Amino acid sequence: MVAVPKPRRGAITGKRWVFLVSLGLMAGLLFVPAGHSDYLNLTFRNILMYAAMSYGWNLIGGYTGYISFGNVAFFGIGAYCSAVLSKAGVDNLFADVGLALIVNALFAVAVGLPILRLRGHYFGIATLGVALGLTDLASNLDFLGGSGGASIKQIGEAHFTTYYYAMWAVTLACMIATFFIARSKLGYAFVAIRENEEAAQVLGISPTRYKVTAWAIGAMMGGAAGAVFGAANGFIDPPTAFAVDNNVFPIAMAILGGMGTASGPFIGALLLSGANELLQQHFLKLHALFFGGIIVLMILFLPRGLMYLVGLRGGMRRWLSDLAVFRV
Amino acid sequence: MIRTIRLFLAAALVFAAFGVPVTQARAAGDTIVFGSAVSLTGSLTKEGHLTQEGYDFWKDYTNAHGGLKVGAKTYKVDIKYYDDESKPNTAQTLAERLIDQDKVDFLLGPYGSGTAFTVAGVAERKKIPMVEGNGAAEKIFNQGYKYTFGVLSPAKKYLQRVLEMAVNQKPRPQTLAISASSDAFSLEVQDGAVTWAQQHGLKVVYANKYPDGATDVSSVISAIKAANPDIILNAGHLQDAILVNKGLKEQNVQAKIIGYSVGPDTPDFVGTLGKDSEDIVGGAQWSEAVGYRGIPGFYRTAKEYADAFDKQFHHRPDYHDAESTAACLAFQYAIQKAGSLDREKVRDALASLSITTFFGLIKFDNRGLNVYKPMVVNQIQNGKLVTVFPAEIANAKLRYPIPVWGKR
Repeated sequence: MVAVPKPRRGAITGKRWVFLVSLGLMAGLLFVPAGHSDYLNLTFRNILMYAAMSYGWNLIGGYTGYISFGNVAFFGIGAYCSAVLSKAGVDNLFADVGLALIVNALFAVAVGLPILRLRGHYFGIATLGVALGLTDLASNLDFLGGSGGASIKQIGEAHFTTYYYAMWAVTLACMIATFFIARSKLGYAFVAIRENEEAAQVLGISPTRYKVTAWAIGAMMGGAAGAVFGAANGFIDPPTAFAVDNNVFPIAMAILGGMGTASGPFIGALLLSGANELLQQHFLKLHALFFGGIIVLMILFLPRGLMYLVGLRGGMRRWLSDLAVFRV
Repeated sequence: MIRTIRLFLAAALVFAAFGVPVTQARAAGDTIVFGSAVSLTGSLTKEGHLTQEGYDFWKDYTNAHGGLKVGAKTYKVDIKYYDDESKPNTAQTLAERLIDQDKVDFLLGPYGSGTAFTVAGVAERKKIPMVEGNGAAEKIFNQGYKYTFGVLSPAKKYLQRVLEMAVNQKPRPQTLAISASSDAFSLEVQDGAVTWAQQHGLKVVYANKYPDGATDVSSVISAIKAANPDIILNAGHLQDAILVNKGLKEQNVQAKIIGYSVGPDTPDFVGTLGKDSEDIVGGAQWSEAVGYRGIPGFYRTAKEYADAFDKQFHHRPDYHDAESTAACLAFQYAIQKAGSLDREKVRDALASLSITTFFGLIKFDNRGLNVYKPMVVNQIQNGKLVTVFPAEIANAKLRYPIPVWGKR
């Protein structure tokens, strides 16, 4: 009988203290509207939005190990849910988010069942196809406004603050949901699939069922962020709803923070958005170049994210020896 | 080591969360600061740079001539720029930043209708006057906004002028094919042209759109070729014009007139396409040939403007340069008329402005759009941009029908 080592505490959610710091930072972000600056509200609302999308990606890409390049599809669907409801005369954030959750869950299951049978690059390409296909579909459906886009009625004067808190709540929900999912049987099943799908199957885990579950919960997270964004933005068109940035940034954020952890996406979103904001302020034309440089350096030196660095035993030497970049 | 990393991480987080908003002091009391998010990267980079040139040219002129006199006081002018990456949402955030963090006095518009649309929403909410010279979609002006003013002619007019010219040629062209990128500006351009064509007995044999930012339009070109039109037009921006023109040559599609809404005017069009740009026509907001005589306070004719511009930037100004400078001029005369930097007073002065400049008449309808200035048609002849329509101001005769590909 071989003793199965119990997983180290925090191995599946990331370091506990980092998660607590993240919660503390979230509490701090409650006070952003007190600054009475629309710019701050908008900037931090975007950071929260990216964090929520990043959590959505993290479940399938980080925990389950299926790298998706199409999660922006869920964000876009969420945004269009707000547009459709507004057109029908319903201007209520709870209704927007509710509809986005339902539609995205159904859509993710319908799409996930066939494409989650694919692995590796094939899965990635299929997800990209889903996102591109939806962009074209939205451009050609007249009841969604076609390529001209659709307007969403704004609620009240204080809307900037309302939408900020709505996005904050969505992000907090994603963060806490990830924490509890990761520690549940569900989370262990996801990780088992990531580490070795065949072995997981032998242990009695149905890969398809769990993969679709991870994909659908992630879809709901991205969709909720999209619904709030759509309502907050007041206008949605295909290039905005399915923007390339919204596809790539959340992935980069999850990687920087730490894939498969409960605070990685949030920390990644804070740092990467913060860096982008500072670069944009100080380098009028070259900011995109520097930002790209940061991403390259990050992949080279922190391929497993900051959470890995925090949990590392063995210091600098261990870190360097782990890096592929030094293995020529 | 681990402790150091932890400390670093904690510090970085605090920095990221609370260090981002670096409040910058408003410029000193004797400078008027304008703010503008322009496209310095992304798909509208070239046009964005032209916009910035147009703004800077006015700024340098004004400061070199002692500044702007408002009431009894004279102010220097400055423009704070950000790069909106050609993205409407980025432009929106940057407009908020210009107003909240940089505390600019007024807004100058971004390049393009998509970005101008989102920034106009911010200007309205913050009650800050914005004059823009590069967002022609009427969608921007149909929102009932009170703080956004556009010095340029509306999108619908861009290719109407080309058709107006075309139907007077002999032999008279009978059929039109027009493709459009799926952005607000281009769709309005297409709509305007199609409506005009139908009213004036031109048969529209192809009118379709392709995705905004497309990099392959070969299927569009094939469809146009199959329709065999006399006139081929494209509603889009510089990148679309280059893409479509290359496609037409590759598939050897012939027509009597080939024209674009944006492209032929920009210096990069001839530079990129070389001989294949020859004889192409384009709708233009302005050209060096226009004969307006402006009121004192700035270069008064198109020629004076163009020569001085050439000295500073080493290329002839195109209409993007001119309309951007014109946006600054609207502010200049409105601020002087208001005799104050008060935003409400300047807004009211803009609303009732009626001046002639080197760019033409600047006057706004009740939506804030300059519907009073006519457009012109330019053609590239021997690698140079010449004005061929309307006849009163034309400095060259339209080459029609244009030679086949390879014979230019």
